[in-house]
This record gives sequence, C-alpha cells and structure tokens, in this order.
Amino acid sequence: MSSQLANLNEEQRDALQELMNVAMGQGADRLARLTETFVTLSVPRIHAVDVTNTSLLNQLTIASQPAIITRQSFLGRLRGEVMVCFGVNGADQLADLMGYEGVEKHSIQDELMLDVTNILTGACINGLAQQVDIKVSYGSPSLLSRGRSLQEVLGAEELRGHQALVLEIHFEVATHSFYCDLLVCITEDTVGTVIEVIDQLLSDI
Amino acid sequence: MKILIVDDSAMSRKLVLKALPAELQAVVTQATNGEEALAAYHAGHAEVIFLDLTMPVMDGFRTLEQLKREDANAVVIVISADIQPQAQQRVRDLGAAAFVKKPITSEAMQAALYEVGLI
Repeated sequence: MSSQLANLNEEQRDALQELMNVAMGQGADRLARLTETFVTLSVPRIHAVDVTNTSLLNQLTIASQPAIITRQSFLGRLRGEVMVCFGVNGADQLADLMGYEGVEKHSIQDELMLDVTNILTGACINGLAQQVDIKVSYGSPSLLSRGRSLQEVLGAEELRGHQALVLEIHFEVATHSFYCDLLVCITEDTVGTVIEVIDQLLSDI
Repeated sequence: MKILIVDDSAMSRKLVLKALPAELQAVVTQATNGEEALAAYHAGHAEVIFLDLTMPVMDGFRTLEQLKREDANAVVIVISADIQPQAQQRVRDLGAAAFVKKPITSEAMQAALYEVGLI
C-alpha cells in the first residue's frame, strides 16, 4: 500500500504535528474541566503507519500492551476513526478520578470511558478540522476491546484502506496515575485532503 | 528590539514571526527548547521572549522558572496550546507577562504586546 502520510516531508510533518498539538490542547482542557484536575500533556508525536503493517505497529509503545480500547468514527471530507487506548486499569483510575466508589464505581466505568472518548475525539478531530476549515460529524463511541493489545485488535479488525496517524500523546493526571493514548485512523481516500490543506497552510505563512 | 522565539515547531515559530507587527524593529533569534533558549538569553539575544510550554528537552514551565530566577525582569510572553486555566495561572504565578493561545493571530499578538507595554 502506498502511504502518502509516510512520505510527508519534515516541514509537512511538523505542520501536522503542530495542528494536532493545538487540537490536543483543547482536548486536555476539556478533560481537565471534566475531571476537575490539571492534565499534563506530553509533546505530541505523530507517526504515519499502515495499520495492517505489523512490523510498524510493533514499534509503537502502545501497540503491544494490553489495553482497554474504545473507538469513535468521524465522517465528512475527513473520514476515519479514533481509537483511545486506556491502560488495563484505566477504567478504575478514571472512576477514582471522578470520585465514584463501591458498586457505582464499577457500573459507571464503561460510560466514563466512552465520555472521555467522545471528548478527546471531538477535541482532536474538531481541533484539526477547524484549523483546516473542514466540517466533520461523528458516530457514537463504543467499547472495542478489553484486555487485548492494539496490535491484536487491529489485526482482527482488518482496517484495510486506512492509513493511520498515530498520535502518540500522553494525557496524564499524575495524582491518579490515569493516562490514555490516541490512535487516529484516516481513510486513504481522504488523506489527500489533509495533505492539501497542510501545503496550503505552509504556503500562506 | 531583540526577540527570542522558543518553540519546537518550525511552523509555530513562523506563525509568531508572521504575527509580529511590521513596524516593530525586531532582531529575532529562535530556539527549539528551553536549554537553547537559556543559552540564547545568556548570550544577550533576548529582550522579549515568546515561549511555548510543551517542548522536549526542557519544557516551558521549567524554562520560565529558570529565567525568572536569573532575571526577575525578564519579559516572557507564553504562547501555548495548553489552554487549561491551571496552566495559564501557573505561568502567571511563575512570572509570565502575558499568555496567548495557539494558534497565534496578529490581533492576539498586538494585544499581548500592548498588555506588556511594548507597543
């Protein structure tokens, strides 16, 4: 599979990373408001991978570790889906963070993870879309897998036809050891839209 | 005026340059992380510093803290995508003269320069 994203030059990659940086800043802000905590943002790192290429997936820290994985699709001139990888204890940590206890803590966990998925997907994709003047809509978030690694999940899901922007960004609430990482998959037929817009942006500076 | 722009993103540094008022007679130095920024400051390349927060090697919070420890009068304008109110308060507490949200615009730049008394 040819990969336009993998062939981005350094300037295009830097621009895309900065667009995502701004988008994820909005995501962190929304997560901070939800949890009433301060969310530490890592420096975002973007890798372009063919999601069906196992050797590339092996290189990603998040790919081989067991995780709770949620997904949410987005539609429009930019199409694809976002997967959010929580640590295996992420659901517990998130419930703790939100102040849930006892029986309620366990019953609310999936709902909380889907809320966070919705918040981060919305912030990430909206943040990107607004900066490049594209409108997108969203499907409902859902739980994709619990306890399997991203590599196993992607193998099973056969996301052929997608190229992936792996947005390695670590949202962390240090006081509760809560963190999550994002995987953004953009369909191959709309990847060109992203690249066109980046080139336009760069030519305008 | 000697200006130091500190950001790990080349595009972001260009956007800051583009947002500077044309009438500002600026000599600009660029740095990609806090360590480079401190070296440039020590070399006398900065009267005003535009500082990103999320950077590798040495982030903006640590850089700001160090700069203000060395020179309480250093003029630092933070330009960041981290728009959490706590982040904005923290940089104010550390002594930043202004906070500007990314992506920076000419209007936001004008407002920040006005706020710190540079225009």
